[in-house]
Amino acid sequence: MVPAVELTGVGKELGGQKVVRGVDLSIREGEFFSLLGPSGCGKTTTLRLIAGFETPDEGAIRIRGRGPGRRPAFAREVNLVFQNYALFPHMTVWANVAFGLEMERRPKEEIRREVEAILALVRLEGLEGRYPRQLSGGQQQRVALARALVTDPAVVLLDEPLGALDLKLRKDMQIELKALQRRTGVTFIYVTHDQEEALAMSDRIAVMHEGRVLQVGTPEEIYERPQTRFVAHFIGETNLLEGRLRPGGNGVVEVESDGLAFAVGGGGRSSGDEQVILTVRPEHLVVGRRLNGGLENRFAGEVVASAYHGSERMVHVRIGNGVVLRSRVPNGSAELPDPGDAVEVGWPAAAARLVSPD
Amino acid sequence: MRSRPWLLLLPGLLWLGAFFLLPLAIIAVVAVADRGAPVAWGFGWSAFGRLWDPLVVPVLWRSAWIAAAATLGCLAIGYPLSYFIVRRPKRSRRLWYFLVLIPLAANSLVLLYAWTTILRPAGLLENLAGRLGLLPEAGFGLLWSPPAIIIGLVYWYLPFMVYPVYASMERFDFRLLEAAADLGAGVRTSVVRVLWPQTLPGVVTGCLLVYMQTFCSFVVPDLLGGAKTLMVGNLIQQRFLSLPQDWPLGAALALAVVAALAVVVWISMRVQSRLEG
Amino acid sequence: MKNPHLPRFTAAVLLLAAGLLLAACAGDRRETISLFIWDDFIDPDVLTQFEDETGIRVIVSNYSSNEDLLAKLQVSPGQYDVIVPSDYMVQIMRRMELLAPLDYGLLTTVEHIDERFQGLPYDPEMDHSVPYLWGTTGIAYLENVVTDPPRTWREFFDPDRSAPYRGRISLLDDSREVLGAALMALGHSPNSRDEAEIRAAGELLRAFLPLVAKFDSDAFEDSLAAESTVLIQGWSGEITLAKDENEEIRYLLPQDGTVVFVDNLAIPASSRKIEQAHLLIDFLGRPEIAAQIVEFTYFGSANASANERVDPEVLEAPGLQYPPPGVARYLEDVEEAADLYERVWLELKSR
Repeated sequence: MVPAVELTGVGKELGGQKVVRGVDLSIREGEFFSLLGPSGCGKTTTLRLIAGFETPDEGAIRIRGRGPGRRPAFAREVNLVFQNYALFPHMTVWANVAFGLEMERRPKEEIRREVEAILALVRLEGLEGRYPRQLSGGQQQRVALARALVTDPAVVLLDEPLGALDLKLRKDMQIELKALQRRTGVTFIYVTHDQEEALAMSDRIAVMHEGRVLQVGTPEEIYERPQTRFVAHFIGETNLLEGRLRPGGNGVVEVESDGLAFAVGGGGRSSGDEQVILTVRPEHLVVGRRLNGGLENRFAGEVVASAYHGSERMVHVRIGNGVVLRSRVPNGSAELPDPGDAVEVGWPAAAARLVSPD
Repeated sequence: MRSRPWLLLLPGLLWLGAFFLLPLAIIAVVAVADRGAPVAWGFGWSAFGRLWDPLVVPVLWRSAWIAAAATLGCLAIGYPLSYFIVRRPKRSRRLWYFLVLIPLAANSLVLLYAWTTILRPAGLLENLAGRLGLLPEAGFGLLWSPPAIIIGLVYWYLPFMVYPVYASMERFDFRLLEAAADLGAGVRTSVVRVLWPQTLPGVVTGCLLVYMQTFCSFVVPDLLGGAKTLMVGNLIQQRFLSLPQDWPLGAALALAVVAALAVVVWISMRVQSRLEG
Repeated sequence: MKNPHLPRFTAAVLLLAAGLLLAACAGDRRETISLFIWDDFIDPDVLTQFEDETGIRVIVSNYSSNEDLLAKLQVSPGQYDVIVPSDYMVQIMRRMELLAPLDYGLLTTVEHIDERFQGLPYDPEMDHSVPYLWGTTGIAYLENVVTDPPRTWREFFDPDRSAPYRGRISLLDDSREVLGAALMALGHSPNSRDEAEIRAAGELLRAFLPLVAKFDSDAFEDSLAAESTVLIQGWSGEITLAKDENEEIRYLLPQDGTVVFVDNLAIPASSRKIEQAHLLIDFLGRPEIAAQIVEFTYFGSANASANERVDPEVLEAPGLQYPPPGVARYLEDVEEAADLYERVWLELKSR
């Protein structure tokens, strides 16, 4: 099947700086696809390239298999939901939503039908006559969505659309957005710097850093099997340890770091070089006065801090080589160590992975 | 100590009184006085009666349409010019803006004389057209005609259009144009349906400023119009300056113009507040 | 936007203003009088000589029409000490009692006044004004363009005859001059008070107007020199001066009536320096001074003794020729008919 959007070797320079470099992406029809990365990573420029507001210096962008040529933004079957929504302030909700259909010179009756249907879909019935400034942030957000969806585009691009909303509303809108995408079956490309948001909503995620795509995968793949140090660090929380590779037994490699040896069984890349980085998520670390056997990694240490996070507690443990490891301990578990306590910290080899130093 | 906030208003009120209300009051007193040398103190409305002169009405009418044409001209040049300036990078934007305002700083009379050398028969314009083979045998006959008046007025009052229009465009969110383009609007449609309505308050203010000033102008019609095309400003000036003097009529005419323009201002303020909802 | 420097700036401006005010009040204790006169109507060097001799400094300001002069005099009484109204304006100002009577005990040079300019109707006894300079209103043209110039106002205002110069003709922006010329073209007096005659003059002009480029009293000579206009009604002095810029300029006196205007030195009744004003008028009447003024302005002097000292070449200029007997006319105050003149004039311009 032809991908909805395909980028091959796309590069773009803005203001003398290479903001997008060699980006290859293939986004499937009907997919909820996120571009995730910190600000300045090139995700918004990538989005604007797909929208046609910018033209790539190198590489090609194809929408449903068709090349871009020099066609302007409107000729593409791509609609953008702007960061600040960019609703036309002097038009009513109705006029805002109908705008795209009018540009396509659809018959009046059809416009009426389509607008009504889409407003019902985003639950804005009864607000047709309002002006954007008379709406709440969430309602404005839904108008922007309706405006982008109503012309039935191949792809809808969303540029941090939830950034302006407060936390509670944001969580609700995440669910709503996802549901809406499912119902319409339209391909969404979603730009965000919020990794939780990306994990919660996306079918697949592309993590970007310094203009490059570092890893593409499902939320689980990205979280559980990060391939680079940056991805591991940026998505969720993790412990990173640098060391030297040492062959071990039973399909397990060992990493030596400052005199301690760590067993790594989760796979991951090793460039063949001696110097490697291993990552292990805090939720895989177990902390206790005395740990049971069966953990390939087990070290003595001292609790240096313990932070309460509601449903859990983040315990910081300094181990023999001076490295501080963080462990996520669910509240309600039997023993909760206090700072200064001597403890043991451990994890299974399978929970640890090697990542490349990018 | 009790504060006296009204004291803060005092300078403003004094200014208003001294430079606006007092002259207006003097004109009002003159308007109801009797004709004399130059006025005889008395009271009567006869000067206002003399306003309905079949000679005055066409002059008012002509002032109205010449001012309207000049206003449209300022808009036709000022709007795209403001757009051009506002799309410049921030640093050069200031420079462009000041370039537009420069004619205000120079002596306008000198600049108008410069226009006569451009527009006059066998002047710069006709010379240039002649070289391009575009000059009709009789010449353009531009100078000393109503078109010359309109050109002069547009030139002189353009900054008064650019200033408010530019200000309203600076406040405009240009992402809205991208949004319109994204939804399939061409450049013209985006401008007409998105930029124009959003900058309309600035346009109304600019038109008002230009219209009010051009309506009463008397220097340009004299200099570029060859004093053949009287505007109401000339008429007022004549009633005061040329013989036989009729100061009450001049004052009544001035008051009538102020009243008419006040109505125009009032209407456009209503329009503007509706635009801004 | 707040400007932190504003208070300092304001203070600086106030200080500067205060300083200027002090300088104006105290800096110059010399005696001054104010001369209100037509543009380019006096040689500044003459005024320097006057100051050297008497210690009185003359402050000059200009006006561009008699009506302008009248209005300013009415609005700011006491502002001016010597003024230079034209003939009919002297008559009007006398009627309005705006002029101070002259004290001939203080005027020793009046004996030089040309007889032609004594006893003129606007001030027969010269008790309010002394003739200063005179000139004529005539027809000027470019010889290379206008090969057969009109010799009379009748020919000038003939639409068929002047048709080739359509859009290159200018008239003075002055109702009495223009209607006066039209009246003379019709064989009437330029001071006619007859409604039918004045209206007929208006009709003549209405038929002529399509050929007219502009009404201009301020820069008619410049346009002629620049060849924007080719056939004009104008005043002798300016046109004679403009000949230096364009050799094709010619000037002639229309044979069916040439207006002679005399500009006169007079003292406003409101002047507070009547004595010093007399000193200036007397000084300007000295033959050598009057001659210097003629050579500067190219207007004829009313001073008979002056002409003997003027460069004969200057005196031969057409602009300095007095019209032959029977051709010269003076504009007079038409009193209540002025309203009719203005009305006909307005009808022409508001068409």
